[in-house]
Amino acid sequence: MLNTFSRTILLFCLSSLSQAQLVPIDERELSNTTGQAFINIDRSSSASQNLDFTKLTFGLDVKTSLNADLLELGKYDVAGEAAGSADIKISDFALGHIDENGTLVPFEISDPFIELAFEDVGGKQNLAGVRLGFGGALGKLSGNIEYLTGNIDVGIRGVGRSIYDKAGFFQDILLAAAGVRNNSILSAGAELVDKDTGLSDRFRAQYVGMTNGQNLSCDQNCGALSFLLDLDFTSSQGCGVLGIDTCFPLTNFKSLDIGDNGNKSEGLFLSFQTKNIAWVDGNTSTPTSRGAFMNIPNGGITVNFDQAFNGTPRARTKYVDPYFGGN
Amino acid sequence: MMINYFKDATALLLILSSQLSYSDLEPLNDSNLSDVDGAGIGLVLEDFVFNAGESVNDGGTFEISGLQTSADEDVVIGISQFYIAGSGSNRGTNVISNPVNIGRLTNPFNLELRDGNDVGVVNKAVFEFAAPKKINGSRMSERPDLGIRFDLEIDGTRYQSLENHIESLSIDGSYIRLWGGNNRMEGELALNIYTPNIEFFACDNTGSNCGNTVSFKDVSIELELGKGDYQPVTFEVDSGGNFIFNVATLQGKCTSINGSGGCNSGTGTGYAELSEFYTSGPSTNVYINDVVVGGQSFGSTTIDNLQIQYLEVTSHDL
Amino acid sequence: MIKIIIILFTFYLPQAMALEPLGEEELQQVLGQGGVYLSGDITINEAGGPLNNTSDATNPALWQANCSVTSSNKRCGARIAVNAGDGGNSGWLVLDNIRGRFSFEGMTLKTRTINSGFDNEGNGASDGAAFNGDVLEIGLPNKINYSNVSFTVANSSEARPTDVGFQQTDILNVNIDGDISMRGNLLLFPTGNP
Repeated sequence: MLNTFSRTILLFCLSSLSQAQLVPIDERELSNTTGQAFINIDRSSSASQNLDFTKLTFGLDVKTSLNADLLELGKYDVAGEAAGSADIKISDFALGHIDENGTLVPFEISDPFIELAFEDVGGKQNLAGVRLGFGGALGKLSGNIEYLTGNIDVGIRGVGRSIYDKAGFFQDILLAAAGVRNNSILSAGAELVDKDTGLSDRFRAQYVGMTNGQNLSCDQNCGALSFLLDLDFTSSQGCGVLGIDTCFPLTNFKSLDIGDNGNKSEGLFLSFQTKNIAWVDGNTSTPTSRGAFMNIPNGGITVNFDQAFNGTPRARTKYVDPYFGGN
Repeated sequence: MMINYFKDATALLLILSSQLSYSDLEPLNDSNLSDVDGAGIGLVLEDFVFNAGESVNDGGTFEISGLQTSADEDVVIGISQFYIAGSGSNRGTNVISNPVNIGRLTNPFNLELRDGNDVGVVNKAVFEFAAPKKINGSRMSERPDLGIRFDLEIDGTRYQSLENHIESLSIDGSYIRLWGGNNRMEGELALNIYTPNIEFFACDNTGSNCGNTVSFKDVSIELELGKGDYQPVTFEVDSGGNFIFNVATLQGKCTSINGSGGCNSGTGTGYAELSEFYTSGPSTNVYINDVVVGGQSFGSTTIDNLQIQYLEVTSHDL
Repeated sequence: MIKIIIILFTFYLPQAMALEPLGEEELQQVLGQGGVYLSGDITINEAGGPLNNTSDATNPALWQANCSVTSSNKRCGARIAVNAGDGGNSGWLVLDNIRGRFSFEGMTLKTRTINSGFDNEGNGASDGAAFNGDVLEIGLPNKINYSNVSFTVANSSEARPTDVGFQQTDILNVNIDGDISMRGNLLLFPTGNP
């Protein structure tokens, strides 16, 4: 039909040939695909509690600095508690802080998760609890903690001098008799308490301190008679030991250092449950009660005796901060 | 024979003459473009119903797979119902004959290219997709019910279903704005959720034997992230393949820091902009009037004026 | 002979035929059509792609993949990659392995004048009367059928699998199979002051 000449002309007039030659991929390149992702879903059971747990974990590293005027959870009236109180109420809440050079030091969270607890009641799956937890947390948490329901283990660790400064004359004699020196290292554990009774009180607590029967212990530079500190009469009763206050209002602690010596601490969570549930993290089981609950784990907060007696000042959380005169 | 020659010749002629058209399209230059005024496109859904899922007549299955447990077992999440319908949908049982209007002719969803100078992005065009503006007294007939049912299957075994139903949802006042800045895509977003009732409950793996309901009553969530080019929001993937979601930091906004780390007042230090950020900048508020579980009330929840000075979220493999 | 005709035609210079704008009076003569009724059936790489040709033994398949309907091989679908960062140092958000078939019937397209109704079921002022304008009405199809439509959400370090240093992390796969029901119309109209 068309001879060579005509075909040649035709070819020249058509659009130019594609230059995009396809090249085969070799096996090595094809294998550079991984299937893992940043979401895990786990299902576990606790036969002793008749509960099933479904947990959604996100592989995320979060750094944040934030401020809120009010964080209030579970506000409802309960007999035996102040009217208008809430399970958790923190005003001027902040995560992260600003250091004296104006550098923003963020609060760090890793691997947050959401966990649901289900109870099998007559074949029906009742949602019994939900919690938002963090695989690790590190940084300053600031606020006026007016009410707290939960578990907050504060490790108090410091020098004997701080206690001598607070103690009166008679108490000084008792402390000296017990082998406590100015440079002795003493420690004690504190938790949420009822100020009036000295009993542990995890529900809408306003104080943290040593519960009845807890003792100061001397860890270093102790005198020979320091074992006296472990006796009953030197244990904390009704929020006092040897006449020294051992319970402190939560509002004293305006900024808390969450973390374990600069490393993230595990077990920080906020939960809500309709009945008592023990949430399980690895080998640790944390019992919680009905309502809202905040768990700040062991090793989560460490203060010295000065900070325990006098409180910890609020760190700067804004560049224009009303707690620092508006500058 | 002759006809064949004419066919060939005509073909050749057409091909050749097509090279010689003088009506090329020419690109608009910048001065033409700046005259383009941002009129928007309004969207309204009229008598709308959406229904998907195997539990509804010949519904479609929707599965998310590729997830794993921490022991590397395969997890599949099936969505066995997802619906959007009018009020009174009764947890997804009354959907098809229950339509709803979403958006109003006088206050529609809006897609627009806006002048950045009006929204805090200097001298740039900003793409905006906005929900209807917040006005008093939004009508219940324009607030859809929606719901979703998830089925969880681990390593081939079906465990349970989780259902979520939201009644009379309004997202008025929400928007997303995107623009190009600093060689990347930047944005700002606001999300408002208003609903009288959000319910969660779990059922067994056949979707029956449903347990007690957790209800959040009178929910109001107002989330604001980012503030124009003062504090832009970015979403990227890093070179290792991980997500990075970032709300820009306020560090560096003040050029005169005092001894305790705060900002000195005075002109030109950035103090005025920071003060304005703290008094009227992006703020998140959450209010839930009551949390009710199985008939028992657990009180209200409030998060008031939460402001973000810095947020960086990076994903990693678990 | 044919050669001469062809050569003559190659030198034929047709009239320059630029497009010219229609004047106002001419535009007013143009009458619109009534409406459009659409049905669609779209298949994306259902059985592999054009690069998966194993029929010629001398020119073996370039992607070396098995692309039957049930295959989840990554080289079988379409791929969209987006870079929202600064290009050089940032990675790509990817929709990979896009494949499947979806079909719909009964999507309508027409213009409509609205100057009444939309009055909250008789309980309020009529938005339609206040609006009093024209809209483009897209009637949504009653049913959309998805047949093994699937895609993978992933992140990758480079845009294409053939780029040097390519590495991809899959996040999740989505698979849709079955019918979705819809009712109603989408109304589009201009807002603002054009």
